[in-house]
Amino acid sequence: MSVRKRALLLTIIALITVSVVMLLVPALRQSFIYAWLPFAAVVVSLLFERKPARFLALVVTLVAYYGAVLEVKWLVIFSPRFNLLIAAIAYTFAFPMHGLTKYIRGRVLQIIILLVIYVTIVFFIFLAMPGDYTTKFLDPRIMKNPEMYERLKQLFGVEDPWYVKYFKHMKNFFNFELGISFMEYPRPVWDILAERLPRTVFLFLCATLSSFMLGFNVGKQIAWKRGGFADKTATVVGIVFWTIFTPLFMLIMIWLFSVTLDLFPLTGFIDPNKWHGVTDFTAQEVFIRLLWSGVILVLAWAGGIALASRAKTLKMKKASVYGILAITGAAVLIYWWQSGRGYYALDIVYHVVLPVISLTILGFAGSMLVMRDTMLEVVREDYITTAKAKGLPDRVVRDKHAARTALLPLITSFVLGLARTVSGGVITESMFSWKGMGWTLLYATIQQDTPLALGALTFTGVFVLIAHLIADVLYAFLDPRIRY
Amino acid sequence: MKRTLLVLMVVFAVLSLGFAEKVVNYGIFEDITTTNLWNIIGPGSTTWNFTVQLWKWGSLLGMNKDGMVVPSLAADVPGLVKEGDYWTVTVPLRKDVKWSDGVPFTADDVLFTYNTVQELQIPGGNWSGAYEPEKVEKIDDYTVKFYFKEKKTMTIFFDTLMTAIAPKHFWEPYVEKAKTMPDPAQWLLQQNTVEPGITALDITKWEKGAFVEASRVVDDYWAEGEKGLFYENGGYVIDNPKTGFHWESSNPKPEGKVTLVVETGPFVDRLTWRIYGNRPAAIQALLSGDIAYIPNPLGLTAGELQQVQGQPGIEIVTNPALGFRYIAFNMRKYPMNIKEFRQAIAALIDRDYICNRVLQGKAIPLATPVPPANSYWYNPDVKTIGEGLNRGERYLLAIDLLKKAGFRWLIPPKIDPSNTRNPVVRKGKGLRGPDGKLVEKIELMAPSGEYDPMRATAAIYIEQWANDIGIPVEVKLTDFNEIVTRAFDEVDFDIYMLGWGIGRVPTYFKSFWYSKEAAPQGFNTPGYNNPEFDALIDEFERADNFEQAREVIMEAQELLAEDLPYVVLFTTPLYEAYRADQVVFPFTDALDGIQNYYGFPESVKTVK
Repeated sequence: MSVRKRALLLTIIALITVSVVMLLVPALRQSFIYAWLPFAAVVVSLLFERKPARFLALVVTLVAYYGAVLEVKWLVIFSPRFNLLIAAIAYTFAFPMHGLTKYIRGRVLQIIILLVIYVTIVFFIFLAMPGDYTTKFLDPRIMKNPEMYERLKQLFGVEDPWYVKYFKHMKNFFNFELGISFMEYPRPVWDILAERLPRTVFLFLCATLSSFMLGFNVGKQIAWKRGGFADKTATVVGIVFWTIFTPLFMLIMIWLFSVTLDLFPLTGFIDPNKWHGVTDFTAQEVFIRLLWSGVILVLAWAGGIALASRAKTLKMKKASVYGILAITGAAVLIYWWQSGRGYYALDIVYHVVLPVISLTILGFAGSMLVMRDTMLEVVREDYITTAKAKGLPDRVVRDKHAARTALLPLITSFVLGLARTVSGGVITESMFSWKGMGWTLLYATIQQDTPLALGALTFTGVFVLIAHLIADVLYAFLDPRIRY
Repeated sequence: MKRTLLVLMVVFAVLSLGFAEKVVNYGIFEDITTTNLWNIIGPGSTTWNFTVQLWKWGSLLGMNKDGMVVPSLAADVPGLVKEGDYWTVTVPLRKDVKWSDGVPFTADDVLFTYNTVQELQIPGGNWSGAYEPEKVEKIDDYTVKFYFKEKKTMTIFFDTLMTAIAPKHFWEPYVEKAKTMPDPAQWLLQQNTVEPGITALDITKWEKGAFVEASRVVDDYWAEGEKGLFYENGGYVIDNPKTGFHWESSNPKPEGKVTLVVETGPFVDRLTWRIYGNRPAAIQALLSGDIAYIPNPLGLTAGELQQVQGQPGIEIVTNPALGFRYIAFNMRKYPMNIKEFRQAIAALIDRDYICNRVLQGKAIPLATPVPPANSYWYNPDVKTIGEGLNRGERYLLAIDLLKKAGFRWLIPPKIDPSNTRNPVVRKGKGLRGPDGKLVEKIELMAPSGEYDPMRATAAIYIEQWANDIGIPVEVKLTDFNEIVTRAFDEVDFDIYMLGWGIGRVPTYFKSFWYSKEAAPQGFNTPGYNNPEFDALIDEFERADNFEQAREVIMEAQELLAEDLPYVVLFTTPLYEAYRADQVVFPFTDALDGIQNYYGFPESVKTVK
């Protein structure tokens, strides 16, 4: 390490140490916020290359930062929190960055700009809708009582001019306040979204994962045996379901599996008879724990794969993946068994099966066709021919050499699919009485519950934007050919 | 040995049946949004909040099945008395009522409710009655006195005294805390607590998005076994053998046979409302027996009715709905401002033909804005213009009415009433008004077939009949929102066709036709302005008693049938289905159906 780099490192360590101490001592916290943090930021920046553009970024950072902490009216863009976000991003421009970090910085900035544009567009779409909550819903008798009518209008803020409404909305949004729902007045929008989100995420995460897995596996198989019976059948079946009228298909599924065969519950996510008398926890809590269980299992699987990459033999590789999965799975099962909530979790899982099967059948063709097409390209590559010429088994060439490369485009659609899980599906949620985000968005829009509809839309929009960023970063990691 | 075992098993099975929990499941289409009374009656007054919970609170007065005003938490129906500058109502309260947590109901609860609404300015149209009294006074623990500035009899009896009463002992700490908050009303409305009701059943579980459950929480229930007795002469008696409370109607006094007895239970241990995200799923649940009934203000659609008809265990009931479909004339515009013109259009409209032949019995013809099933307020003497005439005679009557008003044709219509199949020998053309000017195209806006095929079909028939005698009516089947905007906001229309859902008490007469309620400020879209009608409505509002109010409304119905700001067309029956193999309702023939009683939570019985 050069002397300059060592000095740089020591300075940064010293600054961090002082910062930690100041944060730990309550009396010094004010000084930390108003003086030390900006000072340290400037010092760190000046340690790197000094160019006019960097100074400009530093000035923007300081203006945005002091605008937020001192709450200077004319320096606050939308909200102090938004200023802090701008300050943080602007500060990254006060350093020289290269490669992936530079790319991520640029993407983050783009996403913030896109977010502002997106929230603005969504806001104006709702503003353009005719009528408002008060004219649509208030009991005609209230019109006779002008004082109360005015009071309600004031409460809902419907009389404000558009720009006041817009700035109020942006300010609230960037303060993470989505307002109060009209339909469920005076319940905060956050509260409603927090209630509906776990249900939607659980259902659509299961469905996205299963359709991805099915699509990936079927796609690679049919591409490997291109033109065969399996290829033609899977493609036709996949496309038929991909293009089928969704409500009709879901009704057929309900009629067949719930009404006629009585294999699955009709609709909903729990059976009231089983949940009768349960007072110490709610379905919501079980949903959240189920989600955590899923996350733990996925992490265990990822950990297993990471471990497998270091293993020498195929046996060891398999043992590390399946072993870790089995141990974690057993731990999760033990947890549910001893928590006394396993029975109720099973009820939810039982209710999710039919919607997941329906969504998987409807959606697997997307992943399957992407996988099939990419595989067909990949199998023509020289390195596949080389692998075959080396005498490697077909399965190894297909799974390890071809499918791995072909997986990349699928990763993008999968990550974006994951982001869309938060928005849910209007049709699916309505058909299966799964009161989640999609249902909420639909009813909020129909009922002109602007804060709730805006909240739901912006919330899902943010997730999609973040997912785009993750997909781009993942691409960079997974595909060594991509350089930024 | 085997025999003993068999006997034991049978005994066990019988005992199990005897001790089995009695559970009834209903289906609803949306979740409730709150369990807080202030919110339910206020901004949260959704159909589903009402269906699942409104029955658990009482009001001082109520209405029985026949629409008679009867005591509920009051011990008697009070009168309105002039005292100095005020009109007062002194209400004696029942002494046998207890909240579900065992605390007795007293005058303090009544005072607390009205004062809280006024003091905290609780918003919401359904609390409007609580704003009416100038003062509410406690005379003793079981007597309250209301003071009103104006003699608004109907508002006082049907709004103020029918306001739900909240339990003071439960809400007082919350209200006191609310007063310390920046927005007391909003804070109070946010509290999601389950308060005691006056019923034995209460909400015991709300699993958001899935179901709401009410269970029996009172063992020794004050109203258990209380009976409402309906007499054949219209008299009504409330009899509670447990507490000794007894009340009889005075007008009319109960005489003759008892035609119906409604007993208060509860007869179930648990009532669950399961939430379905779509109607087909709820219907499937009804068919499969998962639920026994779907309380829903719109009833069953024609398709759903077909689906459930003839299914084992399913009983279908048909009741008249509280509502009507109508056409409204813009009386500010020529020629709709000419009474004879409106009468001519009314004469052309054969409601019986539309309802029974065109709509094949799916609609019930109406002559007045009060449905016949609302028997107390309905005027059976009101006849529509042209009633009983055949098609040809109707054409002739319309032509005569127009001629009487001074209308003329370039080519007059020629009608042969003896030809019942096609009485129009020659269609009229070039209708000229009394001023000699050609009558321009008259637009009849009606909802499109996708929104309401019944109204769309009726509109097309009206257009055809009008065109036959040369009235240039042209139907515009359009979006519901366009009609509402043009009729209620812009007031830019000729004739439009829409429908109203109405209340049982015809207080809507004022909203729809009182001159001061003219659109766009009010709902009087035709701009009807008749001092005689206004005087009747004022008299109705300030009537000394219900009999006087009734007579006034009868007269108002005749006036409306003559002046025709609206031509009332028809109402639709409300179809409902329930599982007769699971539940028994105390009665099913009810104006606006079983749903109007929220499925009788306290009186529904399970089938043994």
